[in-house]
Order: sequence, then C-alpha cells, then structure tokens
Amino acid sequence: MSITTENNEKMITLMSSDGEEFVVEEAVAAQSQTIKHLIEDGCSTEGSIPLPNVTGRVLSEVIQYCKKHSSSDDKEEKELEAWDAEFVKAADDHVALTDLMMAANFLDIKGLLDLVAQTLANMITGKSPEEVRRMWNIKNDFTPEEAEKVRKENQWAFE
Amino acid sequence: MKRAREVNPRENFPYDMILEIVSKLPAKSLYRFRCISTSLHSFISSINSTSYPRHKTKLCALLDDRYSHRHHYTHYSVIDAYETTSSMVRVGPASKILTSPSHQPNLSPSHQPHFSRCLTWRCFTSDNSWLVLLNLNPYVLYLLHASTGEAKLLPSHEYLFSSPFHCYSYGTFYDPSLKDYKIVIIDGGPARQGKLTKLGVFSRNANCWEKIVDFPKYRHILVGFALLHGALHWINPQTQVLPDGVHAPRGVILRFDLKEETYIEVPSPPDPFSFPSDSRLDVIRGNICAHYYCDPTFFVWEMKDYMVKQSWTLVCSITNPPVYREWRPLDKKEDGYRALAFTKHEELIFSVDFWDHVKVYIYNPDDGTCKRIMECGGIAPYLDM
Repeated sequence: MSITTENNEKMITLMSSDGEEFVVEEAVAAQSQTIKHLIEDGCSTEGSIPLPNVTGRVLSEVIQYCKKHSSSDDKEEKELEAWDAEFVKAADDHVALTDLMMAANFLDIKGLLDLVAQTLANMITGKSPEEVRRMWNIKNDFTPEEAEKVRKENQWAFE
Repeated sequence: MKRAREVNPRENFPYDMILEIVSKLPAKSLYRFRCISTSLHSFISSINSTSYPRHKTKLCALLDDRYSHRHHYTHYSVIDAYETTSSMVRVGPASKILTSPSHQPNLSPSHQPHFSRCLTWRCFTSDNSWLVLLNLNPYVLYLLHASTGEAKLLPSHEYLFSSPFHCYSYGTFYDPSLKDYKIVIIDGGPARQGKLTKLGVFSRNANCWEKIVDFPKYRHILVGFALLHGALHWINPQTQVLPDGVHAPRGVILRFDLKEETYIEVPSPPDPFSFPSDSRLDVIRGNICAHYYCDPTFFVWEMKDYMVKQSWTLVCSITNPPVYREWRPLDKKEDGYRALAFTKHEELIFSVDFWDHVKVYIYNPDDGTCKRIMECGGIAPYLDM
C-alpha cells in the first residue's frame, strides 16, 4: 500500500508482530536495510510490510530513531550524539535495550545496533560474570575444574 | 540479511549479539567475562589475535640522508614486517610533504618538523596509522600519518614537556567506551629539580590533554614500557612504594591501568626463572614481550595469553648478535637492543640503538644469521588498519 503525502513523500506501512500499524515515509523506513530490500523486492505494494520479530512498542522506538537519523544529514554531529544518548537513556533497563538490539539486528540498522550494543557494553562493564549470565540466561558450561582454572588465570580482572 | 530467531529475547539472547556487545568492552571486563562460559572464553581469547593481524604490522623508519651531508632526517620508510625483507621497503609519500611548508597550512614555519634532532619517537597505533613523533627542534609532539604524510601538532601543556631529554611518548590506545584514541606520554623531568614524573593522556577527540597523573620515578627504564589494553606495563627495577601504598618488589612486572589508575602485578614466567630488572617490555603482534641482553645472548619472551603466567614463552634467543662486538658503550648496554616485529617466517626484526641513530637487523632462527636491513634515525612499529 503506497500513499503519497502532500509534499510527495512516498509512505509505507509497517506492521508489528502484535498487529500494530505504523505509517512512515519510505526514506525513514529505508534506514533499515532489511525493509529497504523488501521494498526493492516489491513486498510493500500489496499492503503493509509485516515484521514478525518486532513488537509495536519496540517498533515505535526504532521508528523514532530512524526519523531522527533520516532528517539529520545537515545537522550538527554533536546534537545527534546528544539525542542518541537521551534516546538510549529512555530505555534504560537491559531488557528493553536487548529487545531494541534484537530489532536493530533483524532490521539491519547499523547505527542503532552500534548505539545499543555500546550502551549495553557500558552497562555491564563493572558487572561480575554471574550477573551477566543472569541478564541473558547464559549457561555456565565450565566443569568445576575448568571454572577454577579460568578464574585463576583471570584473577587480575576481578581485583 | 541477518538471521532472525523466533524466540523470546528475554529467554534466549542470540549469541552473535552478545559477541557484538562484548567486543566493545574495556580489557579488564573482557578478561573477567572469560569466566562466563566456554564459548565466550574462546571468543574473547580470539579477539586479541584478530585485532592484531600479523600481516598488518608495519615498521616506520626515519631515514637519515647523512650521506648527502645534510645531516637531516627528511623522509621515512614503511616496512611491512610480516613480508620478507626483499620486497618490503618503500619510501613514504611524506618525504616531500614533511619538508615542504606549502603542504602544511596548519603549521607555522617555526613548527616545521625537523628530524635532524629527533630524540625518540614511538607509536602503537591500532586504527589508522597515526604515528607519534617527539621532535626536539622545536620541542613538540607531532602526529604523523604514515601513509598520507599529514602532520599535526599536539598542543603543549604546562606540566608536561619539562625537558626534551626526559619526555617519552608511549603511543596510542583506543578507548572503546568513548570511541576515542588516546596518546600517552611520560615526562621524567630533570631529577635535580626534584620534579615528579608525570604521565599525560591526550584525547584525540577533545584535542587536549585530559589527564595528568603523578607517576613513580622509573628514570632509567623510561624506554621499557609497553602500552596494551589501556594500561602501561613495565619491569620494576627496584623495590618501590607506589602512590597507593603498595610495596612493589624488584624485578616484577607492573601494570598501571590508565582509566582506573590502579597498579597490579603481572604474572612473570614460572619459577625459577624471572626477568632481569633491566629487561624492557614491548608489544609485538598484540602480546606483551619482554626482552633483555644477558652477555652474550639477546632473549625475547612473549606472554602468549594476556596475564597468564603459564603462557610465557621464549620465542627467540640470539647468541652473539653481531653488532655488539663493534659497539661497546660504557653504561646503557641494556637499552641497546629492541625487538620490533616478527616476519611470517618467524624471523625477528630488531634494532640496536646508537647515540644518534639505530641499526635494524633481521634474525633468521634457522641458520642463526643476522642481516642488517637499514640504518635510520628512529624506528617504530604500528598497525596498518
């Protein structure tokens, strides 16, 4: 479904996994390499583009990011950086950020992926291995002997 | 297009995304997180070798055209350390740029680099081939781009550059959390004036000296520091009381984290062996290397796995390196040899210091021969990425 606005911007509709629809300018949506390829392949002509891996809540955040970054070519880099910082601050728990990063990965938006990955990296910098395992349900698959050895080798990093 | 997985992200976060996050961590967290799981352990162990690809190791040498009787270092040569010597030398495009004022709009005529009295220059860049050059006339630090020859002047600082003969640059490192490249220099200061040794950290993003810290005096080993993972490493020549009150015994390797400003001891090779206290450290192919001359042999050790005691390996020993016989200084023999890089055939490229120049040799471990490859004003390793 293609709609054209007064200033001749081509609009497309994105549909989240929970059925929410978002009408955005094509230039905004094309920040996502995944959507860009879908448009090029003609997937947008028969209606909205379904995004089965992204919920409405996450998609609205992604669109917010894409809007800002598609209209900011001539803007100050510093201002954009400040905006990015505020943007990730708004989603300040790791679950929301993880969802956002999954979406950025699926939609292939490199800038957003980098931004969120960096935010999560900063978040876990001071954490213990156990805390990081809990955050993402990572299984500790060392044998007790291996665990002891690895812990000993990397003891300096715990001090 | 990347794979999409139909799972609840909170239950199962795709592994490739965890790797994406982990690769942005500072070294200390990185090594701590090796304890999370076996797959993270092997991934983190591999980061070091991939971020320091061997074939990217270059050497940059200031060439001395003394033979034209001008006594100036006016151009430089870039050597591909990984490839064999025969095809590796080329003259950098900076030769003309560096000596031609018209190509340096940012530099006033008095700030033209004159390499005739270049005391020392070093670099350990990891991103884009920027070399740090210390110049004595005038007494300033430059950033030089190895392939374009672009030169930038670093601003001076009131607490640094107290005396040209006590200032050493220790190259650059990348701070992944700030996306910033930092340049570290150490200013020993003249001892008789009782000045404290200062360590300065320069931010490339902010274009200013962002941190100046008091640093214990290690006057006579000021050339033996290795900068890796955001920390300085060196061999402590005598028992010292560090600023945080810790007594560091003689001969141990110390690590000073530039961000946290903490000191810890780096594991030495397993007993009974330990390094002589006049050994020097360097970073070669992404690892800390310790090298020293113990008459009549030059030894090079490599810590293959960062901070792991058992990983110390003797990678090269050269008995009777030829140059030593023709060069007998009275005092600083320990500064004489410096291991620079390995070729793909595991030949060692090393330099020998003379009072105003260095000679560069390549050592073939198979037949034990040393071949001289150049004579220059100074030589520094860097990564061409």
